[in-house]
Amino acid sequence: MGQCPAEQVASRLAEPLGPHPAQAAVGTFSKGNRKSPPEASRPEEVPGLFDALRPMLRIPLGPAKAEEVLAPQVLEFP
Amino acid sequence: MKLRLLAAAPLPLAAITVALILGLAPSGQLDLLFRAEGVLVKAVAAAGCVAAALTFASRSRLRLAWSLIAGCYLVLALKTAPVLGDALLVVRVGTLLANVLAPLGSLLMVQAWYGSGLAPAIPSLRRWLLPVLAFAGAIFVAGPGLVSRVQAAGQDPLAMLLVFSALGDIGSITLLAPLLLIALAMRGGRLAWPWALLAAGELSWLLYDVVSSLEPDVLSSPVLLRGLPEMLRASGCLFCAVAGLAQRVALRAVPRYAAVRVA
Repeated sequence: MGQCPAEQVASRLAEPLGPHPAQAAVGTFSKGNRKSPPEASRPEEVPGLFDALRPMLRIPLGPAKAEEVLAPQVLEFP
Repeated sequence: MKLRLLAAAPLPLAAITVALILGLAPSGQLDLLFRAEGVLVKAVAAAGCVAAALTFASRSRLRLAWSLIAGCYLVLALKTAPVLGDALLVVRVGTLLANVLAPLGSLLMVQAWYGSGLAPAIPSLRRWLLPVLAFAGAIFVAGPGLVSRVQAAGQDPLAMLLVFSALGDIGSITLLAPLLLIALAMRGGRLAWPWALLAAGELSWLLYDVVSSLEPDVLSSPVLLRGLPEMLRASGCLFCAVAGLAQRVALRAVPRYAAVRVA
């Protein structure tokens, strides 16, 4: 708990990619979508971040696994 | 756990196989047995790479990359096989093909990873400097062989094929650096395993090239002289086979995720 949405997404990606590339990917694609740093990300930005990460994740994971990892239904809004 | 077991298997398996052949086979049968063992490990490597290729979509660059590496091992298996591998032209064309397919496959893998947007995980200085150092090392290891093959090509046109093979060796050794860098960058993630094992396979082949180019009196024992290159060749193939399996296991093991709590 206490992690911002972008950090939680990075933790999820760390399982297949390793923590360092996961953070790099979230950092890169967060910057592409917004001006503030990933730590300041808001819940409503997560689907956009998933969309930005999808093409990148399809390369090392393959399209099926990438869709599984980024499936929108796994998002949980309070 | 499965991945660790896979990673631990190639070296002891190669050592035991070579020791058994050297210890138990009658001396007149050694060549034939090592040839049969060579065909087997290369076929296993090709099968492992096909298993990895099939985990990706049909137009994916990684599928093509794994398929090219599988093709390399298939060619190597065919050119090692008795009868087919006895024809000089088959051996030389096979060596050339294998030395083109393997570095091309590795290059595509590295390109796919760098092109995916994950490159910032490796500091840019390291990303450029290490391949340059690896290229210098490749020239040091494969350069003398390249020069002697270029000289021989003047008298024997077939020897020209070996020149391209030596260039392929240089490419493979150079690509070892980015493979290792990617494996290191991904450490802690499941997908680091196939990259690390593929790099271990390339390293085995590099050591095989080094040991094979040594003068016979450097390795004093006849058992070592025969066994060490055979062991390095077998471990190169087996590392590649388990890299392919690790790719499949690693992707299957990525869990279905629990919800991300965005509150």
